[in-house]
Parts: sequence; C-alpha cells; structure tokens
Amino acid sequence: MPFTSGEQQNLSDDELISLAKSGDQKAVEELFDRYYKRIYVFLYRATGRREDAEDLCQEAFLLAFKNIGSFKGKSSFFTWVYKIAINRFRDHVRREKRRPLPIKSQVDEESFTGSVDTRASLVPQMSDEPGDKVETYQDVRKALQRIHPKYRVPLLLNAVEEMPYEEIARLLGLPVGTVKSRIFRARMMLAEMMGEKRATEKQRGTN
Amino acid sequence: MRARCIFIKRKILDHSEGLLTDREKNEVGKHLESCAKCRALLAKMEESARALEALREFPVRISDSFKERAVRNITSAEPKRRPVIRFSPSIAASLSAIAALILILVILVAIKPWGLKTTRTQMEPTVSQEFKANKSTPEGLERSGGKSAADQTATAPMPEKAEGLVVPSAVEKNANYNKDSIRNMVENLALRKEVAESMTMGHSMLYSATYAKRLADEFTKINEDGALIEAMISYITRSEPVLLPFYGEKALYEGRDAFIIVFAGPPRTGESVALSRCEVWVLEPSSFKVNPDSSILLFLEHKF
Repeated sequence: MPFTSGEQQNLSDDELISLAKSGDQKAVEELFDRYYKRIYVFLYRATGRREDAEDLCQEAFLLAFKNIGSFKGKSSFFTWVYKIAINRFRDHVRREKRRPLPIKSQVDEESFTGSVDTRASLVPQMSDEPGDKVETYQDVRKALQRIHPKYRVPLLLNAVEEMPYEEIARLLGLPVGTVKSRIFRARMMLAEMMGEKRATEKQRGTN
Repeated sequence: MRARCIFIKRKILDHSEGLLTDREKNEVGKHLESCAKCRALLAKMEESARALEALREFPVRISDSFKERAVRNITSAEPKRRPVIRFSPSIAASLSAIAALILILVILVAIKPWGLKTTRTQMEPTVSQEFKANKSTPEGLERSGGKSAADQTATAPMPEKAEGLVVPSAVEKNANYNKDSIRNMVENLALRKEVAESMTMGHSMLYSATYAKRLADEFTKINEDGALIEAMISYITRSEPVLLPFYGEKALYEGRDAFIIVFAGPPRTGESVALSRCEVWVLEPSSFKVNPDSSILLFLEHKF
C-alpha cells in the first residue's frame, strides 16, 4: 500500500485535518502515521496485550476520523485522539470485568480475565538482553496489570509518556491534585508488588 | 512530627521526580534523617522509579504489518458525512442556499407523521434516534394490537456500501441451550464464517446500528418484539461500537425464554491467520435482563 507522499509530510496538523474533513485519505494516513506509535505504546502498556492494543488503537483512530467533522481544534489533534484512546481503554476495562471466565475456544486459549498474557509471541523480542532485566521487565508488566486502571493510567502517562501533571489532568479531566495523589498511590502499589516479588525470590534462594 | 510527615508525603513524589526547589529539598532531607517512616516511603518511591525505568528501557515492538492493516481499516470506513454548507462569495447564492434549506425544512415538517419510518431508512441512525424510536414502540405496539402493525413492516435497508456483507437473520428454535451447546451452535454457524470472511473494522463501526435494526426487523418477522431487542442490542453496543449483531435466535437458555444474539467483532489479523471474534449474548426479555453467562467470547480461527 502506498503511504503518504512527501507533500503530506510537509503539511501542518491543521492543514491535514481540513483535508481529512473533506475526505482526503492521504491526509488521514499522514495523521495516523504521525501519532499512532505513541498511542499504541500507551495502550500496549495499559492493557498488557498486543491484540488489545492493536484493536483499541485502530478503534481510537477510526472513531476520531469518523467524527473529524466535530473536531474544533480546541486541543491538538494528538490530545484529541489520545482522549478517545483513553476512553476506549476505559470501556475495554469495563467490558473485561463483565466477562465471565472464558470458554475454551477451538484454537486460541487466551485468557480474557485481564491478566498478563505470557505467550512468547506477545513478549517483545529481546534475546540479546541479560536475563535479569528481562525478568524485571516482565514483573513490572505483570504488576502494572494488577493496579486499578484508575491509578494505572495516570501512572503510565506520567512515568512512561513523561507527561507533566497538568497535561495529564487536562487529558483525564481531573484536578491536578487528584492526578498527583493517584500517581503517588500507584507508585506505592507498584513498589509493594515489586518488593514482595523480590522477597519471595530471596526466600526461594535461601531454601 | 505527624504534620511534618503529611507535608513530606505531599512532597515526596516531586522529590523523586526532581521537581523540588533547593529549600524544599533541604527540608525534606532534614526530615528524612529523623523519620524512619518517611524514609521507608522514599525507599518505595525509589523502588517504583527503578521498576518504571525497567519498563521504559524496553522498546515496545509494533507488528510490522500493523500500520498497513490499520490504515486499510481506517481509510476503508467512510467518514461520517456532515452536511457542509459552503458560503458562496455572492450574496445571491447564499440566499438561494438558505431558501433551499427552508424548503427542505418545510418538507421535513410536512412528512413528520412518517418520521419514524424515515429514521429507519437512514444509513446510519444515531443511538439517540434509535432510542427515541424504541421508547415509543413497545407500549404503542401493544395498544395498537401487537407486532403485526403496519409500522413494523419497514425494514432497514442493507447499506449499499456493504456489498458482500451478510444479511442478518433471526430464527426461532426449539432448543434448550447451555453454555456448551450454545458454543457449538455458534461454531457451526455458516453465517459466522461468512461474516468472518467479509467484515472489516470499518464495516463493524459503520453498520453496527444498521445491523441492530435489521436484526430487530428479522425478529419482528418471527413475531417477536423487535423494538425491545433493538434496545437491548443498543445497550450492549454502546460500550463496544465495533460489534456487529448478525444472528439471533429465540430459544430457551437453561429452561428460560431467551433471545440469543451473536455479535461479530472485527478480525484480528496475525501473520497467516485471522482470528474472528464472536460474542454471544443471552438476553432475557421477560426481565429486560442480560444473562450472567452472556458475552461468552469465542475466538475462532479463520484462514485467509
């Protein structure tokens, strides 16, 4: 599939948006290309699963372009899509909660309870990394999934996206104080889980 | 000392992020020397900082084909066309546009009595329109003598754009399902395979409401309360706009009357196979309730 030509790449977001509003698909592609990686990475870390990240990322952009006519430019396009992505993620969490335990399906024995998928194909390829680091990384991923999304989302935005508190507050529609206290609590929970993990490993080591 | 701890607690996040002024840093430092509790707190902050650092160190790998697939899905969905009024440079043209609008309004007002039917034939009815339509129908139907009312004969047209998409169907079955047998039914459903072959994420997002209407119409044909079913489907798809209700059954579920609705989710494309997602919802019409066994989720492999 041919992707955007150099012409689109030189246009500003605003110019691309007005082109997208008139149905220009090249402009849609270029806008997607500019921002999908950051949104995907956030969703991957938030859901812990590649498939969910792919679905939610596509859905967020699809919804954004479907409703591009109502985009007034009050915030940046990126913030707008990000907001949609976060909302999609919230809906996703709500639905996952409603799901009963899965019935074994013909092929894919994936778990739908929101736990971390440990299948090798979903783990980033990192054979050249030392084992310890990989293990810590996997532990953090698992621990994150145990933190309530209410705390997980601001934590990820702050720690991984490196967004300032004010921007997170705007994005989530919360007061800055609430954002800070949620990040604080999330970090405490994360630390406790990591500490517990290390303690059990130590114990195993001494036995 | 306690008030001091609360003050430090407030500052400790900023402290670990290096956001404190020198004076604040000094204050926090002094307090930490004398307070073991706050030192433990700081240790936790450092522990989590290390954990998050480990997370940041590993780049997230995005599947090579994702961009291409996503762009295909996104651009294949038609954007919601809003009526755009372009202001012509000449006043005369603007005036004629306004006149045309007034004319359209007059026509709309004139055909108001058929308003419900009009919304049914729209390509992409909004949720609120559906609900407005539904709210008035269930009681209205009972009063006017039931489901055979003329109003129910209008069927939602399948969108022209969705050529190749299956037409939803609803049947009444003499079956008493449980979790396992319902799964077997869906796995062997020929319609499911057709949907898996033809649908894209764009389709599902655009046509979800149209399918809900059409499926409700199918239920009406077998003398069920289509409006009620449509309202229940809207309830489910509101939080998941990409689900396409394509098949329904009136049957028993563990001995109770139930509507079984099968939704298709957009396929997930892997390297060589696609997983087509199906969700099965068991609705209990008597109590307008969703059975707790619902949203039985099936991921079914589908080879391209």
